[in-house]
Amino acid sequence: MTPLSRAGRATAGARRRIAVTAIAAVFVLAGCTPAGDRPETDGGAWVGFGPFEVRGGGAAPRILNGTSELRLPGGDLATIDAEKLLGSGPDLPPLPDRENYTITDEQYSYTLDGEAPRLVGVVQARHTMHFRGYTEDEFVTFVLAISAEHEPRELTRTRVLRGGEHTATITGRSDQGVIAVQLEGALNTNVPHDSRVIGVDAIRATEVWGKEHGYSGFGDGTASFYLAPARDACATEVQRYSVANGRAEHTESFANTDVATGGTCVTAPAAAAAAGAAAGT
Amino acid sequence: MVETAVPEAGAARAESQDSVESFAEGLRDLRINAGNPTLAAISAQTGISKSVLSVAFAGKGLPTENTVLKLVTLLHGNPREWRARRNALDPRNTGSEPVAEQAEAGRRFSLLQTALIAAGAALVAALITGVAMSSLGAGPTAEARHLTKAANGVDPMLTSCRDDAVIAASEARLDNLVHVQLMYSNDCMAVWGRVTRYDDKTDGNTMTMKVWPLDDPQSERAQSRTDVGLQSLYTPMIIEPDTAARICGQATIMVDGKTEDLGPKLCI
Repeated sequence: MTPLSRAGRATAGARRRIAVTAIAAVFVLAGCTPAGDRPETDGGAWVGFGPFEVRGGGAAPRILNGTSELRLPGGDLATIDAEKLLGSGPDLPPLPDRENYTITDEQYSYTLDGEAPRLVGVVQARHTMHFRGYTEDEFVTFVLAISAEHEPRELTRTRVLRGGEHTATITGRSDQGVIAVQLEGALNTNVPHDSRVIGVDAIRATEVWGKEHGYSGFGDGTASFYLAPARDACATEVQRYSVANGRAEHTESFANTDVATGGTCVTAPAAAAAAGAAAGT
Repeated sequence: MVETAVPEAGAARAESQDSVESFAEGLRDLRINAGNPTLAAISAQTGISKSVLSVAFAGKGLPTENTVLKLVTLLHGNPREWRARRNALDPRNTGSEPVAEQAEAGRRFSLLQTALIAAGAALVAALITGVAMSSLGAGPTAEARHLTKAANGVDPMLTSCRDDAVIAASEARLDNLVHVQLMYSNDCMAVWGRVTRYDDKTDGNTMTMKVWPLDDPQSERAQSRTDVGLQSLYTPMIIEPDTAARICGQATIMVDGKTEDLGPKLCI
């Protein structure tokens, strides 16, 4: 190594100080940028979520449960959070008394608007209504179309059910804007428990089909509908249907569901578990 | 005077000139050379969803290695070359790091250059921060949307009428494959039609919808629109201040080259 002269050492020292100052300045200023712009390295490898990516391992999921962080096709990070999204659509009518809605559950999937990727959310909320001296709760389920950008926006908001306590689960997705939503619980007045599967076009904010008194196994493009009085009961009919339009592509009827007498007992949970495993949910 | 050493332009630089957009362009060329199969056909043969394919062909994102390999194999490309090209574009690709490190090692700057770079970096960071913060704070506003005034024949999506639009009438036709709807904006007193198909046959097929005042079908206010390759089509609007007057709509779609009448008119 060639020893440096005193002048050379002084120059090298000054250069180091400037470099350190420059790096510090960049870090200080970069610290002011939104956290979402900085890629994070913890939380597992990125796996495909349709045209997006999410952290995780194993199979690519087609449903996300709860507030989720994802990576957009362009590489930006985005967080989808129903608390922030619901009622936030800049071009939508405001949600009256938004502060009285408490989010109880949120699920997300993906679809297309033409050729543009979009996120779809099913958001359940408890709506507390205040009357003169007393309050009452109703349970509301919304389907949201959400923009795929760094700060996701609510593009459409479809209220698919309001009333008694119920659950809502995404049980199918398609590339035509439609998702299948399983509703279960107090769906009708004076009926304590019922089940229904509906197809909601989130892009155009419209319900396009419905199937009563049954349960759906998860499907991408096509899904299965089990006509049965209860989730664990033997189905009297199983449909393979298109999520986009609800039309049955194949129907199988089971007149005898009693296995003891040679019948066939098909239940939704077994098939749903298999489909769920395939969907990574 | 301390000299600056910059590595020679080589293969790494040639690779760095590639982009996700030109990668997608290459994929589109490959698709055309393979007979331009539809997204649905490619999806069916590869198992890749149409949404992922759409993003890949549009250049909106870098497809995964697995997607590229399946796609290129189907479209008769060279999987090895395409994989290498794809991985060179992936910022997470560790294979490119040694090249970058080498370049950094060979680069030395003068005192003045170091100071200029420091000042430049600080300025760029400040500008980026400012733009990001201002864009976050502002959000889209109605003023920023450059809205058109509502009038007969105007595209409703260019007006504020879409903000309060409701589906005033909706009917499923062709055994639920198509939905015909009339939209209404109370703020604009405007009606327009919308037809949406859920048969996954948008490619190459047309849709037509017309809307007209019931008491004057030949009116100049009647609107019609035909377009091809769309899943959903809406007509220009009709302004109808008379709340007692009725507006009707009717649609047709083409399926596999054959025009299907979507049934009786829908009126509100």
